[in-house]
Amino acid sequence: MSDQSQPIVKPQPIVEVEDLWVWLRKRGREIPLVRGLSYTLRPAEALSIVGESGAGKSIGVRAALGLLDPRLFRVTGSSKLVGTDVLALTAKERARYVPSVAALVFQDPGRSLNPTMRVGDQIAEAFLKGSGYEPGMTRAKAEARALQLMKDVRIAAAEERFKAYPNQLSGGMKQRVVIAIAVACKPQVLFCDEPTSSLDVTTQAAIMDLIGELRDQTGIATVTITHDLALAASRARKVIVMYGGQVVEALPARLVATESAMPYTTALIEAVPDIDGNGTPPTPIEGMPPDPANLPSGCSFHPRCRFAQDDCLTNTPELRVVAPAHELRCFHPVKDLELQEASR
Amino acid sequence: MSLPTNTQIAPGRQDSVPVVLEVDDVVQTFQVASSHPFRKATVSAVAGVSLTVERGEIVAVVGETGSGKSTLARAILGAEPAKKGRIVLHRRGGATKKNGQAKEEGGRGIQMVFQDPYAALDPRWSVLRSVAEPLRTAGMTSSSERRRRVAEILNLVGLSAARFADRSPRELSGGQAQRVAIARALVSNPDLVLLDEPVTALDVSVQAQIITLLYTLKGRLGLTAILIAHDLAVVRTLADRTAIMYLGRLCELAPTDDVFHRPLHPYTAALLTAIPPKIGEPARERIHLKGEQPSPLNPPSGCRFRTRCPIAQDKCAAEVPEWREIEPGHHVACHFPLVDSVAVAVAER
Repeated sequence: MSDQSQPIVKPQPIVEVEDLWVWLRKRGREIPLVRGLSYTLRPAEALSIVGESGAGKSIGVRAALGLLDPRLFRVTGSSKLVGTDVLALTAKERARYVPSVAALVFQDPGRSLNPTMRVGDQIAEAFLKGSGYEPGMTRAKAEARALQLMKDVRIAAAEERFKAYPNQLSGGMKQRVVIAIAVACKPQVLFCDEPTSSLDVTTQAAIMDLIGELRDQTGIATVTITHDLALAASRARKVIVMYGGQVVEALPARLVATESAMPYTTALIEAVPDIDGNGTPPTPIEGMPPDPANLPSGCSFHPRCRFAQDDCLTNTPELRVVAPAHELRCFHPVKDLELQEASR
Repeated sequence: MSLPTNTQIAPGRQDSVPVVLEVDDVVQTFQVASSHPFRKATVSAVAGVSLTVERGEIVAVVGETGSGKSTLARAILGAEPAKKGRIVLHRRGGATKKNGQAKEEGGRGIQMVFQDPYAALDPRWSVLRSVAEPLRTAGMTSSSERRRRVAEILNLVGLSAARFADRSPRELSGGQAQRVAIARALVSNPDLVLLDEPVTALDVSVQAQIITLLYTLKGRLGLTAILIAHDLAVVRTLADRTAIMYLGRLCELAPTDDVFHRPLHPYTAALLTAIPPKIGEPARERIHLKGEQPSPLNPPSGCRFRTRCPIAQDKCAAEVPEWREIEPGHHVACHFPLVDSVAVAVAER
């Protein structure tokens, strides 16, 4: 078969974030919070962004959706959602466009819901007032759709729960309602910011199952922000590790265990207590994440890195491709060091 | 007062190891407003929990939100004395305290470490003052003596007294603040420390630092503690024995290894399968629980877990399962415990 007979058509990307920078304006200074974030996402793909507090994960996602207040933040780069760069739109255009293609789910479902409104009405509102509105929509139709959505996100006894107020539901149920509202307008990408961090372990597993089912059934793409590398590796297809506002490693989730080579990623793996082990303590990463207002010279991770050498202090590593779909920002990846040690 | 090195105990559970805390059939209920205008409803938060903690041992109490683990901790501390049952603290030197007397004596004997260290420390107090406070209430009047003891304990938790003693909490990172909170809990040499979700609010890398610190303290001081947690991985590293709690009752209590490798209660088994797999390993075969945790206002009859249990039978609704010791040290409250054959079947499903 010749090359042109059957070209493999990759579906158009839904999200294309390109060289995204975010600065916080503070006392006449500009503090870089996100430094050159880029990623691409196609339909039904699952991406996880992993990092500690202050790594720039949440702020990067908010910037990509055009949610940051321009008086406080300066954003450069581009963020194309279904082909349209939302950063080039005016605030008014953005407010109309973004909700029609993307939705964002937050960590604390209690704070995302209106405590004085029945949850069914809150979902129906998406069809009556939100971007799910269609000509000819009536209250009855909207409520019927809302009820169906509650069933779709596996809320048991949905008819009864339709009339419940948020405080009458458990945390897991509330998060299901939030997800129902998020997918009501049929967005093409769902951003979840620590969707399960405030939930118990069995509820966490159930919510992650639900997000996976939605992806399989509707082809929605998902971006999940988490600090839990184990959760990311088990639930996503691609994992991006952020540190100090930069991507330090990006690789397919199934390769995290064997191929990760940035010392920060491997240190994160070792910092997770081993549940199947014999009770030996995890290996902590000494020191603290960098202060964005006062970043270290060279590689941002060098003050905490076990393998740091002289060039890490003076030169700044670039993100480079080391294998297909595997990018790395490091002069001395762990694999190279292992090879050197083996050859000695 | 000296460092509690005299409490070093060889690991292992011998009969000679003294029991520090006895919790016997403790019941805690709260009255709340009900939908009926003239009646109150009763929340059954803890419904008959018994356990003991021996000197030099860390016992974990694991449960999800609403399981009553924090209520149990508050009852042990005496912050909210239990409605029924017996809580006895055997202090070093022979003194015994019953139900909540700990509170009247200024909390001596039991100290607590909370989830959020910034909320637990007075924002206007220096580290020195916060850590020295338990010594003052314990009657140590010499400030130079207090200062020396604080320096000693800060050093033990990995903070240099010279650098940190005069800082205020907002000048500390989350990990440092939690170290200060741990130092404050240990400084008066308490008989028992209650660790209430000590690493939940911290970042992964800092979590590992605090877990390692507690692990070291356990080895060095023979720390006696109750560890309240919902994260099983933390428990795995630190606890000698683990109790699993569901809706106010204990389901299972056993040496930590047994809980993880041979769970006998279906709830324990389901909890274990819900943990994300270790990085690089395939997804766990999950045991899915039906529905949601019922309200403690109206707990199910019989076994409280039966409404969600994959193997529940008629007997489970009729009779409250007895708390039995199936194997030495392995207690379980279940009519149909997952003895090996069942456990294998569940694991293979």
